[in-house]
Amino acid sequence: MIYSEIEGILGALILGSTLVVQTRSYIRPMINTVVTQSVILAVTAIIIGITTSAPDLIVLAGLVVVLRGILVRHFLSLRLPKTRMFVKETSHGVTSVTMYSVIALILSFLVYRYTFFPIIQAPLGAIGFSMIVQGLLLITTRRNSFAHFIGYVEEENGIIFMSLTIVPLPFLIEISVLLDVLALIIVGTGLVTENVEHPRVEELMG
Amino acid sequence: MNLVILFLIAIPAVFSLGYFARQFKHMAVLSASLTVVLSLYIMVTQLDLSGDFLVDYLSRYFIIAISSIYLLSVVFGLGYHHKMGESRNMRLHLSLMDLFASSMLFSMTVNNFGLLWFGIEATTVSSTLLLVIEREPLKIEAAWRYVIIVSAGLTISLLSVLVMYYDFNNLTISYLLIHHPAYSELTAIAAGTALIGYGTKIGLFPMHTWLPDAHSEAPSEISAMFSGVLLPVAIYALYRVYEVTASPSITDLFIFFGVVTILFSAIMLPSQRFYKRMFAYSTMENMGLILIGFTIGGIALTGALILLVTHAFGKGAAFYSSGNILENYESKKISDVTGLRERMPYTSVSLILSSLAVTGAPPFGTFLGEFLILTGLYLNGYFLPVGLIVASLLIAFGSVNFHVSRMVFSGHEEPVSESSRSQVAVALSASAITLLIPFLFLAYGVI
Repeated sequence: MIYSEIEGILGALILGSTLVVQTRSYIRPMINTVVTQSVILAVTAIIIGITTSAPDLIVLAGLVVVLRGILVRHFLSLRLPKTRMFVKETSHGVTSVTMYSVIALILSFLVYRYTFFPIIQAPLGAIGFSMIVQGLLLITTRRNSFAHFIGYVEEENGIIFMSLTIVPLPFLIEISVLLDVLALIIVGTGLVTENVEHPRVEELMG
Repeated sequence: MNLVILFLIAIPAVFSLGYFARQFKHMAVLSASLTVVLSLYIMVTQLDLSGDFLVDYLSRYFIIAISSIYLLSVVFGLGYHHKMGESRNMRLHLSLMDLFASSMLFSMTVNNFGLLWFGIEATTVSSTLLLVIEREPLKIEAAWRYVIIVSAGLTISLLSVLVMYYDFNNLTISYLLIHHPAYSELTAIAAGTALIGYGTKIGLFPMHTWLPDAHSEAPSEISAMFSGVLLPVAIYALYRVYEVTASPSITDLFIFFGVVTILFSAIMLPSQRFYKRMFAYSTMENMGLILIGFTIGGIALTGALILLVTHAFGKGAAFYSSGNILENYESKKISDVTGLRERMPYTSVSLILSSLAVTGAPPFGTFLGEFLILTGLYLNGYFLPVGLIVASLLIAFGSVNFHVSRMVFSGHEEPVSESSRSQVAVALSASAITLLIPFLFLAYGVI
């Protein structure tokens, strides 16, 4: 009983971090928040691993910390422009983004409630599902490369959280997903240039 | 574990180490040639497997298409990027092409839905940097859109894997194909999320936004691989999910997305100003049709296979020709290309043949494929979709061939030297193969 309550609290913290990321304007704190989220996700995996006697979940937690907590932060920080101390996202207003993310949160809970929940009966899965939606929202509402990356990592964290709370995927596939995100971050950071914003380009329209 | 399939996947992966070798260009050609030989062996012996790997009648066609376009693209790329000599970028480009082919072949043969998802995502990782060999800002922007939109979309298809695992407690494709699980709301969710996720990679409307950008900005041999084989690999993944989760409502949903994609591309095609972008929208139209063919099954499935293989070579030829034109005219604008017939006679032939092939003109295989798909759709009572698709196909046919005719026949230009012999030969041979495909299908006993 106590473990399920701890899982609930950790889920709430993860969800909170997702909303905090949405309202961040500065990139470095945004990266730190998503790293914190990954660490909380790892703690959740350890607790579920202990309660279900699944050692592979504890290994998974370690990999989440190393790959998403340390390496992803390292690769993203490497590409942050050195000439500017603070990199700020300019394409949004905090009020409108907060409003969008709250609306998206309510809608994602409702979708989960009426599609997944009647069959799966795992209430915490709603948190993972809403993280996926919030990640997508971050990608679509921002024009900054780093924000796009963070949105993608959030989406993948959401999938892992859903998997932990609904049915843990086979270990090989979980590992593949983790490595895949890392590979994508490495490849993607190669594309991040000095100009991290993505304006409209005439040749790429129509 | 079957050694033929293991070699098929491992050869390009191992040869990607050619990055460190002096003979890296020869190694790339050798790798692609060996892959074609193995694919032909799989095709001729009608190899069937369902252990660690899954190979059946369906995947055999995909495998032969992937390896053939891989070989043509490597040969074309060596000529197209000859100015890069033996630079690090050129080495990286060829190595990544090998890895890209390997990841597609892995996706085509793996017998597990989770690893299939991993394979499809690996194709994104390995192909992203292929777009930016020239490091121009526009290409970087297109590559960025590709990697972010496709990866974000594919995450949703991972949800489909999760739901299937929850429902079936098994992810082995061959097992689930035999032990057909009963339809439930969960299977519907699995199919719906797979449609959105893999649909992003296929370029289905409205998740297609990366596709015209990536196809128009990629080097031509990469556009050919994207359009000819990468998108069909994603269709294969979606079709495998569909086979396991099919129900009447899901069939309708898949057909709806296919039709909307075809309609959208028909609307976009007449107003295109850039020829590579135009061929990208034509790809969307063909992918919509192939998806519908797979969904309907029966003769429509046969039609989809014929369309898939013909389109791979036809669109390959269209992009190879586009590359040759871009090299000579240094412009992607349709209006900047005039007098192609006089300036580049061989390329004008390959361009006309390929544009006729990809728009479904008889006697190309695409015509036969489209006819079979529409017949299948009609026989299943989808009369309105048939009408909408026929109208869209006519618009697409008119638009693409009008633009191409303008490029070839309008104005007068002095003859100049064509692109390298290998580039012209690749474009011409790919367009000639599209004419042979119906006969090859006849010989193979499919029709």
